[in-house]
Amino acid sequence: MHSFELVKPKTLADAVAALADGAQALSGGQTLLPTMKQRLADPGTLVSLTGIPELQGVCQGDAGIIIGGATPHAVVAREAAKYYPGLAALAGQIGDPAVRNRGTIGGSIANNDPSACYPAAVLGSGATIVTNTREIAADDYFLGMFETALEEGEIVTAVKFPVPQKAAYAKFVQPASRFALVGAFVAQFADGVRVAITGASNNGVFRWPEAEAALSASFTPEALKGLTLPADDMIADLHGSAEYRAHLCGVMTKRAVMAAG
Amino acid sequence: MDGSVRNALQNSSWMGRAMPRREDDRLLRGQGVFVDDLQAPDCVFLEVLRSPYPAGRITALDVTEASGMDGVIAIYTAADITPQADSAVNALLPGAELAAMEPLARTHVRAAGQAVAAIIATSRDRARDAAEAIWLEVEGEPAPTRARTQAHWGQTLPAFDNPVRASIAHALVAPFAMEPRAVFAMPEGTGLTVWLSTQTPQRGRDDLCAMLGLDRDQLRVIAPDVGGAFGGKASLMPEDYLTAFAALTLQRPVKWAATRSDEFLAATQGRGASSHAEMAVDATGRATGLRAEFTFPLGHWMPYSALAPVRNAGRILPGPYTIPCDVTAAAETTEGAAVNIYRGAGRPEAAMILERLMDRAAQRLGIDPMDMRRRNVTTRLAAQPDTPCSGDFPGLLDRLEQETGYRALRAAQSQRRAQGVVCGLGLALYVEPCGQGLETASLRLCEDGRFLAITGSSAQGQGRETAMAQIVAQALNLHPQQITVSHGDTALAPEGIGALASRSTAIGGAAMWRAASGLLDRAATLCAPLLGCAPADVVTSAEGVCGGGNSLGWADLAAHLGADPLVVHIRHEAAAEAWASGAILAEVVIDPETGVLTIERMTWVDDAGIVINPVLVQGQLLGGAAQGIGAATMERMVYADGQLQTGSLMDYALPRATDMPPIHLFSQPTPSPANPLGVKGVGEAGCIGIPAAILNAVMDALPQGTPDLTLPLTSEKLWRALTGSLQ
Ligand SMILES: Cc1cc2nc3c(=O)[nH]c(=O)nc-3n(C[C@H](O)[C@H](O)[C@H](O)COP(=O)(O)OP(=O)(O)OC[C@H]3O[C@@H](n4cnc5c(N)ncnc54)[C@H](O)[C@@H]3O)c2cc1C
Repeated sequence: MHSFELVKPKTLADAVAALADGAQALSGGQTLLPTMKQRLADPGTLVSLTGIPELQGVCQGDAGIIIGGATPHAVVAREAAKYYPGLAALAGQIGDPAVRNRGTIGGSIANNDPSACYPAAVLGSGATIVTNTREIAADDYFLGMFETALEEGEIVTAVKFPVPQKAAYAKFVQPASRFALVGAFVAQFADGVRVAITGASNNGVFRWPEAEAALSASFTPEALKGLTLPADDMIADLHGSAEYRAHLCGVMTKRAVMAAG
Repeated sequence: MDGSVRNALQNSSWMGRAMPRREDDRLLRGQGVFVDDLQAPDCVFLEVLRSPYPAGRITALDVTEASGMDGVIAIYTAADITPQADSAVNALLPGAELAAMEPLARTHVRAAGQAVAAIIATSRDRARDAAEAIWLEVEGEPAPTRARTQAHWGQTLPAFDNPVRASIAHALVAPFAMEPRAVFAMPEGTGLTVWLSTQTPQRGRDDLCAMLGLDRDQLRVIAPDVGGAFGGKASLMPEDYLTAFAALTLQRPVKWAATRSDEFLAATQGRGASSHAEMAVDATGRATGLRAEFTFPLGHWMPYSALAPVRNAGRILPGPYTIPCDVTAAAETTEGAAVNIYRGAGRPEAAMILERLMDRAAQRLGIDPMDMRRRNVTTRLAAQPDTPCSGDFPGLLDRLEQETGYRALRAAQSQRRAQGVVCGLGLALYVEPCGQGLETASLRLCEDGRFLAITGSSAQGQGRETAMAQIVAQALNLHPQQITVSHGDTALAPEGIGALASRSTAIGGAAMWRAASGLLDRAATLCAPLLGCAPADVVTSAEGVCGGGNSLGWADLAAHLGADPLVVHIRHEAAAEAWASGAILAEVVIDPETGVLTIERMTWVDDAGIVINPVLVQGQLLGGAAQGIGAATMERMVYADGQLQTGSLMDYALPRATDMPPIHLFSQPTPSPANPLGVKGVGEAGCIGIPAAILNAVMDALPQGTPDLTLPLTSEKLWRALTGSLQ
């Protein structure tokens, strides 16, 4: 690791100011620190977001629940359970206890790893990403592998989730990293079903419109019969070919529907 | 065994007891001391610049800028180091070509990850900064083959009439010790003391001496706590030499500790062989001939034990069976990290191909796999080279059948299949030869009345100290707490082999037993006049010696002996090789939608000979099983265009606690005639038998006619096998 300065602001305003000079945000550090240890990132200054009270916690809002941008996965797994069990269950499956105690929702969706779990929940719920400057609909936020709508220095301060009637996440773990080789998040709302798939595509998390239409008509595993995704844009690596991932998208979506009940 | 030892044996029963490991209290409290924990005030740090390029010719290597950087003390390239000898390679096969270590690449890089320069600086970070500032250019060139070897075992057999066939492609895997390799070298007199995370301290010393041009008495190697080894710390590595060379040249303490990335790139790997075999069977299910061919990749250089897997695979066929054999094994250097011994070392490769053939033959003839094996097991046991010394193979199968309710399982399997469950049962019957040659032991009565037992076998977490103390306590009728066990320091044990080949209890333990017996005899002779009785009437106990109504405490005896203490040194040459064995049944199901494999249960009957401590045996069996499960189902090192694709745990899949199935262990020992304790080895059993049982269970679950699968058995492969889309 190269040496760096660490700034620990107590307020969002101070964090925004500190980030203005090309510094980099540090949240749980579960992605950034390993990258720095391998000397693949060399930020001169890190601005820690974990000591800012307004970025912490899970609470109920007017239209669902609001999760502070620096809230660790373990807190979401525990505290969101009574409002949004499908989301809490997803958070509880991320990494291991150490990762869940450090890693945060803001860090996860800012990073937008194509195999990460949270992007599936955010897109699958039709959540809204709140930053220090604006609100971004999930549909406009994820722009491809490791790409998001965030501007330089913009901070995810919260994520607002509408709470569906039913939802579940089905994760097929990559055997080494235990990230999602394929993960499917399904959420049934009064006005229809959303399906988001992570882990599978070269373009990062995506919605599956055909499955959404079928499940909106009938929220049953049978409704998905015969639906397939093309393998063309699927990730192919040593853990799974494109065809296998495409196949798993169907299986995991079905299992998510079954789990949602 | 002489009379006095027999007396003691009758009085004590330390051997066979499930005693907790004396090492654990310290290790579990974080009080272990590993090489990287050692400090010295003026210590400097070595880092290695590894080639990011695959094989090619070095066209530029410029260290000028790096040499001038803050904290940099020295930078060595190949031109700056002066090895006095090639690194040693054990030429286990006749006529073997050898490819010694190049501590730093000379004109050519032979594989990505090969060390090109060594940087010594005042801190690790400064050394790494400097490594980044070194200019290296490599022009891609195919790597030439440096060494080839071929060997043959058995007899040349004529062509078989309609044999059963099987092929297996083992993945390369990482030995993956929890503690990465580390070395700390400190100038001492005209030589060095080197703390090395090793399983072979004496070999480390000898190999370093040769390469550094030092005499044996100028170099002391100490293996402090070692966090796992599995063959990955058995042979001298380039960083070991470079660190020692730097300390000697700079005359200051130098330390190197591998990162996990270093380990993935440049530590030794295991397995990787491919095998093709055919077996002739008659209508009654008797195998009448076995022809097997193995090909082993060696990586770009050969560590000391590189040929051991080749030799083991060849020599142990036909394993627990009686079948005429015609076995060839070839090995050659390949682009990639060095391939060396890894827990099992050739035994798993032999067991797997043989057990596949047994199942194929059973299937062809419509015989149950259990019965197929019964018809072929050997009863010709003999203490002669490369044949099992002992074992009751039919007995192992009978016990396995009984403990699993095998017949009922087969019946249940038909029912489950009818309901669409993809399930399989897989058997493996295996042998585990446990090493040849010597080991040393010494035992001393100390001034304070305690005993110091020094073993040449080293320890990396097996619980060696616990077992050795039990052996000595048994022989002398002491309490194990009275015995301090020491190992891993060449100043205390100048001669020894270390921990390899499942040999430490069978050979090292036997050496210690003989030392204790010798000490008992000497004590009897010395004490008889003091006590006023015949030597045969001297009895030892935790308190001391007694006889003829008199007694003498151990400390008093030590005081009495003064400058001529009670001490026995043994150099024990094993008369024969102990062979452990076992039978395993794996029960698996495969999710037809995803190909995910679940091992529902493993049942394992093992014959590790006389058991000294069941806790230690179970630890070895289960740890080996975890690695066996890993090799069968998920572990693999992958290269593409010479670049390692599995350079971290994000891509290299290791089994975790949650991947462990329920494992039911049953011990069914037969004493080994190869040593006075009747013990055998157990360290490698899990890696030998478990993968074969899993593969057989998977093949049993998959449709008949499924082609041979390569390892590991990933979910995609199984899904493809089920959907008929194997590539
Ligand atoms: C062993 C291991 C296993 C894991 N398993 C999983 C898994 O199964 N599923 C999964 O989804 N994830 C997994 N992760 C990832 C982990 O859950 C974290 O979510 C992820 O690493 C990022 O969150 P973080 O808070 O640690 O972010 P950091 O590492 O601190 O930051 C990541 C990036 O986001 C930026 N950033 C951080 N916070 C913000 C913010 N509020 N606004 C704007 N930018 C920000 C940083 O500058 C940096 O570029 C795993 C990680 C590890 C180490």
